[in-house]
Parts: sequence; C-alpha cells; structure tokens
Amino acid sequence: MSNHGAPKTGLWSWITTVDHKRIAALYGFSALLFFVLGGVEAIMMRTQLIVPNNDFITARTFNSMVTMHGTTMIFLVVMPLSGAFFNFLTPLMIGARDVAFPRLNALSFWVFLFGGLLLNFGFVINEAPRGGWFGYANLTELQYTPDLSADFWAMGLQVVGLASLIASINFFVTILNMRCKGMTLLKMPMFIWTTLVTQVLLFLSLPVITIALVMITFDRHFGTGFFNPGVGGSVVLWQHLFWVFGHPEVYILILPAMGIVSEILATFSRKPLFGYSVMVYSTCAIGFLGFAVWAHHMFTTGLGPWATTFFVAATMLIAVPTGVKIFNWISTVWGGRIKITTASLFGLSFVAMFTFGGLSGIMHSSAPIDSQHQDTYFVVAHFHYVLYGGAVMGLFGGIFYWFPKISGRFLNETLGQIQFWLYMIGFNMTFFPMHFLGVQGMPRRNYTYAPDMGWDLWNFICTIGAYMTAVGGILFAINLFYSLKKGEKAPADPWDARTLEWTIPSPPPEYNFGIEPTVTHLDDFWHRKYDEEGHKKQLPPPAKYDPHAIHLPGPSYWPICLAAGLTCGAAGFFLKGFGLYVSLVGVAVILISAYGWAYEEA
Amino acid sequence: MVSLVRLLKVLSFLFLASGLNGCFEKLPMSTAHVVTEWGRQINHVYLITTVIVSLIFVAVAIPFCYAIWKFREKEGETRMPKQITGNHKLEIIWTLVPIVLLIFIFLPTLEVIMKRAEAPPEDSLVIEAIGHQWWWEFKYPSLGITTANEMFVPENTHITIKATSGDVIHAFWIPRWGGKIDTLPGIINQITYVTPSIEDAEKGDYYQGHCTELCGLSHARMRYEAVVLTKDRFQQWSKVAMQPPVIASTLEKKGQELFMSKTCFTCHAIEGTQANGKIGPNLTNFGNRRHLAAGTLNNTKDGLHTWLRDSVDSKPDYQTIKPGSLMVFGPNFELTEGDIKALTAYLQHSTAKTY
Ligand code: HEC
Ligand SMILES: [Cu+2]
Repeated sequence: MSNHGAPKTGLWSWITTVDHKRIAALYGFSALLFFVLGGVEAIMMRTQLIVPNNDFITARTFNSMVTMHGTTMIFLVVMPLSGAFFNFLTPLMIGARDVAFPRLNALSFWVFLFGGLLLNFGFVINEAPRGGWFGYANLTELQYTPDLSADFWAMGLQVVGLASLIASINFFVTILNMRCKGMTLLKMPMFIWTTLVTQVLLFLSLPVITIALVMITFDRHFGTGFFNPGVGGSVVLWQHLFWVFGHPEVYILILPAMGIVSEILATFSRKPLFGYSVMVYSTCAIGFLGFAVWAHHMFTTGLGPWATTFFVAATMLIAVPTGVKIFNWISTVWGGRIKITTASLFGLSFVAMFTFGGLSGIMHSSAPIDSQHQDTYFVVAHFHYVLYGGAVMGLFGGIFYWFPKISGRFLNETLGQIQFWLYMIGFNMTFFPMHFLGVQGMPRRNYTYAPDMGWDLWNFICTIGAYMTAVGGILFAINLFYSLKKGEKAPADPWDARTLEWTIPSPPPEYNFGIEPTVTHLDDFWHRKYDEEGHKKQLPPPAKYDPHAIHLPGPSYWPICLAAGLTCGAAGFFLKGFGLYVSLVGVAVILISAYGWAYEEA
Repeated sequence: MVSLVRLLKVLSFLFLASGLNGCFEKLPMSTAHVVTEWGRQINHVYLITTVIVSLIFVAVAIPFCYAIWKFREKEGETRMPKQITGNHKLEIIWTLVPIVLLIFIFLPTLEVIMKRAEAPPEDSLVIEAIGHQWWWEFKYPSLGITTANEMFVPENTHITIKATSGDVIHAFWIPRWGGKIDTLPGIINQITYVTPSIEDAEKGDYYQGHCTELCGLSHARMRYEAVVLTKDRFQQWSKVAMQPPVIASTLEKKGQELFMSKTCFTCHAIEGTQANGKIGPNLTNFGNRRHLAAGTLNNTKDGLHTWLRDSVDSKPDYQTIKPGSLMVFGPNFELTEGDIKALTAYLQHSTAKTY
C-alpha cells in the first residue's frame, strides 16, 4: 500500500504523520516554543538580580525559575532541537527514504511533547519544580519538598527521557543499516558521525537517570529511603547516579552542534572538513571519555585524594580531542573562500565561544581551583559559553543553513545578521562579567544578594545583556514567520554545498530520493559538481522515475495514543486519591495502542 | 564605520580593565584576596592555569581571526580554494602540545590535592560546623561551646572544621580562606585551615561565609562569619561564651519570662535557663552577634523587631524577611510591641558578654 491518497495538509495530517521531515518540523517548532519559555524564565531571573535586595519575584518563584530554566533549556530545547536536525538530516544525508522505524519516530516526538507539558504542569497549580535541574536528594525528598513539585520534575523527566531513549535506538539503527550504496562509515558526513555517537551516549546514559528517578519516586511515594541518610541511605549516591548520566548529557548537547558546525564551515569555506578522520576519532574519544569524568561535578563532596586525582586527569584529558577539533575547524576555514552569511557567522562564533568556554572548563578541571569556583557565577559563565555560545549558536547556524532545504525559502539575511550581532554582543555582555562575579565570590542560585558585596555593577550589566539577547530572539521569531510565508524562494542547492541532501529539490519530496543514490566519495555531491582541479563539471540530466511506484509507510494515530497513555500512566503517580485509576487508564490505553499498532498495515 | 570599531575597542578595553581591577578589589567574598595557606595554594595553581589558558586562547584566536579576515569572500571573487583534506603532521602537533601544557596544570594540581589530604596536627582545634535550613551551628567539643552564625577562632592556629548537615546538603565556604567543602547529612567532611593573622585586634576580623549548595527557599540568606581574635581574647571568649545571661533590669526579667512562656524555649537553647530547644540557633551568645538570622539583618533593636514581627505575622513560605524560615508559630500566636521590647532587651543585653 502506498499512502498517496492520505491527506497532506491539515491538523490530522500532522497528528498522524510518520514522515521524518514533518516530525523534524514538529520537533523544531515545539523546541522553539519551549525556548521562549526558558528564555522568559531567564529574563525573570536576570530582572530579579538587576539590583541587590530586589523583590521582583519571590524566593519560591526564583527557585522555580532556576530549576525550570535549566531543565527546559537542556531537555526541552537543545535536545529536541538537535532531535529536529537528526530527524530531518539523517535520512537525507545518508540517502535513505525515511528512518528505520517511522512510527517509533512519531512516538518519540509525542512522548517528548507530552513529557515536556507534564514537566511544566506544576506552573498551572503553583507547584513548579524548584529543587534545581540536578534535583539533588535529599532536598527533593518528601520531607523537604512536601508538595508535588518534585514529582512533576521526576515524572516529567522520566517521560522526556523515554522519548530520547526511543529516538536514540531508532537513529542508531537507521545510521548503521540504511546508508545508501557506497556510503561506508568513513564516508558519512561529519554530522552523521556526531549523531551516531550522540545516540550511543544517549542509550548508555539515559538508563542511569531513569533508575535514579525511579528511586527518588519510590523514596517519595513508598518510603524506600535510598537517599535518606536517616534510614541508612546516601545523598552522595544520588549525585553519582545523576552525574553518570549528567556528564555524558553535556556531550549529548554539544556533539550535534559540533556536527552542524563542521558541515557549515566546510560548505561556506568551500573546502572539505580538515582532518575528517581525526575528527571522527576525536568525536568517539570525547564520547568515550565523557563517561569517565562525572565526578568532577562532585569535587567538593569529599571524594578522597586518589579519586579526585583520577577525575582531574580524565577531565583534563578530554580537553585534548576537543582541542583537536577546534584546530581542525580553524584549518578548515584557513585558505578557504568564506562566504559571510548568518549561518556561517553563527558557525564561526560557535568555534570562538566554545573555545572560550572550553578553556574556562580547563581551569576548574583542577579540583583545588574548582573548590573556589564551584557553585559560583564562574561556573555559570563557563557552561553558558559552551552550551549557549556553543550549542545554541551552532543550532541557530544550522537553522539558517538548512531552512531553505526544509521550507523551500530562505530566512531573511538582514534580520538574521542583526539577530546574530544582538546575540553575540548580548551574550557576551551577560556572561563575560559573570567570570568576574565568580572570582568575587558570588554564589549561584541565590534569589538575591546584599548590596555591600561589590557585585552590583556586574549584575546590572549582565541583565542589560540578557535584554539585548531577548530582542534578538524576538527578531528571530519575526524572521521565522515572515520567511515561512514570504521568504525568497530557494533552489535545490543554494549554498553550493557538499552533501546528499542538496541533490534533491527544496523542500524535498515525501520520498526524498526518486532513485536511491550511490556514493563514491566523502562529500559526494561536491565531487559530482567539481573535478579535482575545482572546475565545474556538467551534471548529468536527472534520471526519470515513477513517484507512484515508491512505497512509503502510511500515517498512523497509534503513536500519539500510546504517548498519551504513557503520560497518563506517569501522571497518575502524583494525583492524590484517584491517581491509581488514572495510571490504570494509562496502562489500558498503552495496551490498546500497542495492539492496534502491531496489527496496523505499515 | 572605522570610528565605530575604534569606539568598540576602547569600550571593551575599559570593560576588561575595570573587570580585572574589580577582581583584585578587596571585596568581602573575593577569591582573589585570600588570607590562608590553603587559599594561596589554590591561587598559585589558578595563576599558572590562567596564564596557560590565556596563552592557548591567544594562540587560537589570532590565527582564527586572521583566517576569517584574510579568506573572507570578496565582492565578485571566483577563486576556488585548494581542497585540502588534512595534514597528519600538524594534527599530531596539536594533539601533543596541549597534552604537554596540561601536564603543567596537572602537576601543581596534584601537589595541592595531596597536601590537602595530609592529616591535621593533633592539637588542631576541632569545630563542628552543622548546616541547617537556613543557619549555621558551630560546636567546639573540646571547649564545650555551642554557638551559631558566627564562628570565633584564634589567629595563626590550626583549626579543623568537621562539616555536616542537620537536614539537606549545604556547603561550607569562606571564599577568602580558600576552597569550599560540602556539608552532607549523614557524612562528616573535614577541612583544615591555619587561621590568618589578625589585622584589627580591637574588633576582631570578620570573614564572610556563605552556603553554596541550593538548600531550599532561603539559600541566599544562609550566610555566616568567621571571626578571628588574638589568642588571648579567644581564650577569654571561650571562658565567657557559655555563661548564662545576666539579668540587669525588670524589662530584661520580663523578657526572660516571655521567652520561657512564648514557645521560644521550645526551639532555642539558652545556657542556665530551662530553654533547651534544638530546632533553632543557640542564643546563649546572641547579644554578641553582629547579625541575626544568618546575616539577614543587623542585630540591632530595629533588626530584631523586624525579625520577630515578620516571623509572627507572615505565613511560612512567604515570609518577607526570610522566605521559608522555620521559625514559625501557631495560628493564634500573638506578640505585642511590649513583648518585643522586653524580648529584645533580654536577648540583646542579658546575653552580651565582655571578653
Ligand atoms: C518553631 C521553632 C522556633 C520558635 C518557636 C522560635 N524560634 Fe527563633 N528561630 C528558629 C529558627 C529555625 C531560627 C533560625 C532562622 C534562620 O536563620 O533561618 C531562629 C532564629 C531566631 C533568632 C536569630 C538567631 C541568630 O543567631 O541569628 C532569634 C533572635 C530568635 N529566633 C528569637 C526567637 C524568639 C524571641 C522566639 C519566641 C518569640 C523564637 N525565636 C521562637 C526557630 C524558632
Ligand atoms: Cu544551605
């Protein structure tokens, strides 16, 4: 059966879609909505801190902002935005017609969306999570957080984590099994490599947080006491479990952006990525070492000298493959012909900001230095340089770069470049002074500070910078809606790019490739366009094919049903009284959906 | 355009210069201005590391900026860049050079870690620092002293802090004394300092401390001070610290009676009275404190008035002075202005000691 009769527009078509490109759009759009939420939370915190002893928001609200800003930006913005790129690009870059399990793909999106809503549901009943994005036990135990806030956090994350777990297996299988003819592992685009390694990190680290969240939920609801020292539990255990997941997580956030930037820099410099194979190995090395450094988040818990030394050494070591990447990016640019566009500006600034953040990271890889920086604004500065100046800027570059392919239209360049500069200046204005604040001893996560500490000026500057970035964000939203409707039409290969997705029309047809491609080189498209001397070759006329003969999976409403059942099942955990029934309904929906799904014709 | 660039340059220079200057200002919590051996050891590694990473930054930034400038596409340019795919020699170099540089950070780091792990001398003064939501308790087992929010120590002496928590995780940090240590419930973490020499023998030197682990609503209000005294005065202090209050007027007498009838005694302890509560800070020494409620207010008549009024009148979680504070009273609890006056006289006067 082919689904050419299925509706192509309207709400129902989006709800039932299993097309990876549409799921990518759904991921991207939801992530950007959550980005607005996370941004508003950041602005509220910065407004509270603009002057000492301010009372713009209460301590309780501030703690919720701290918690939900971090949780949102990590789990509901950067991860799903990367997920949007995995979805859109993986099949296109490897010359496939869809991912390995299209309906599973839809499932992971809906689970993510519902999980995200569950996480934020606390705001509706004024019980938003407020125990930090790291949810340190025993503050999150029932005794110290008697309301539902910690349950929303634990259950919401549990559901969102499930979404990532499902997606990671899907992409892992897709990349390993569905590459087109000739695409050996070392001919895959760099972005596909970083995607692959990210999926491995995901499915190895997520189970750990899943277990930890189950344990805290059991502590809260069934009195188990894993993290309750009063009955022999350990609060340090939570920290180990959390960071065994949490540190690979930061590479989960940064690796996709590294892949995106590798593609952008190569295209806009008109040169192949410098040292491709070394880049691949260093990505793998980063992924591997990423599992051996978690306790550098715990240097002040009293690990003992030898454990501390080990984690210091491992943390310093991870700087080496990271450094190799930076030098290779610079060499990619070197000698090229760099076209300055919004995409390439974001890509280039990624390298600069990421390097800066990486270097301050080396500073607190040294445990004694860390004991002065930990939980101060110095660390806030550090990880915003790598995750915001790094990951988010890289993702913005990706949006500007692939938007023509996704939508068939360009994003507006003028607006884009204004946004870029607002971002760059605003970002640095916010986060650079935080290094000074850190050295001056200002602790993080404080809803206010005293006026006699000498922190006033820098805090004021930080806040003004944040407002500037917010203006940039608004410009981007305008740009997005304007360009979707009225943007300049884009050809198939607007940037003279190098990888397979640019060989097909913009936007791509539902089946992606009329005839499944065969590749012979890394950057195959480039080699089709140019000979060894860099002279343009005549492209052969496109081959004829019959679009109606291409089989595509049909739409399905079971994924969204199953996702709803799962979320329902999780939500039942913290409803007093009738919670069990809600969970049972959830389980029933899961069973029915799974049954319907299994017997549905694909 | 050119002048704009120049303006930006000047501005960013000023910005940097004032920032660096700010770092070296003697601020209450500046990590650049340390006074202990531990702090100096850290700053030694910090300096080496800063120099190395700054060098790396320059070594990366200069070629990168140059490349962007030099190789940017000019109007109408059609040059096709050479398709260079890599250079193993170069790649080996920039794998090895960072390793060598990192060794220069690693070795001094290792040295400091190992020095820190050495056992403190036998005669080191042990102080138990116990974090509570949201105040600090300090116990001197060898001297039989319990106090709160102000930790008195003699100058130039080894002290060993045994840090733990009565509820959730907090962290013990006096920035000008060096790195922090977490105070974990169920676990005792240890940190040894050699206390600094005294600068102001008259008043004593006050060093600002702060909890640095998110511990609930009033985490930002969980401060304390380390007070350095000359050895003689510390001796003196330790003798009077646990002496019961001295009642000098009828107002103070009334205050004491109120304290013992208005539930205060259930949470607070005062030596020599029947007040024996363990939930709040020990108030035997209260009259000597500069601040109250862990650095939230000044310990003045006004300060105590504000504290008691807000604690009695506002509902928990939304107290205006210290959100979430565990000093709570029943729904029908009343404290008149007269009561507050008497309590203030008692707490600020009868418990003040000369040393
Ligand atoms: C339910 C227990 C409780 C009761 C009853 C109580 N307190 Fe408190 N009190 C506390 C706690 C807990 C703190 C520490 C608050 C903080 O800093 O977070 C405190 C702090 C104080 C402080 C500041 C101590 C310092 O070292 O900074 C004073 C003074 C004080 N209480 C006086 C009183 C008086 C007077 C009464 C009776 C009217 C009273 N308290 C009743 C629990 C209690
Ligand atoms: Cu605390």
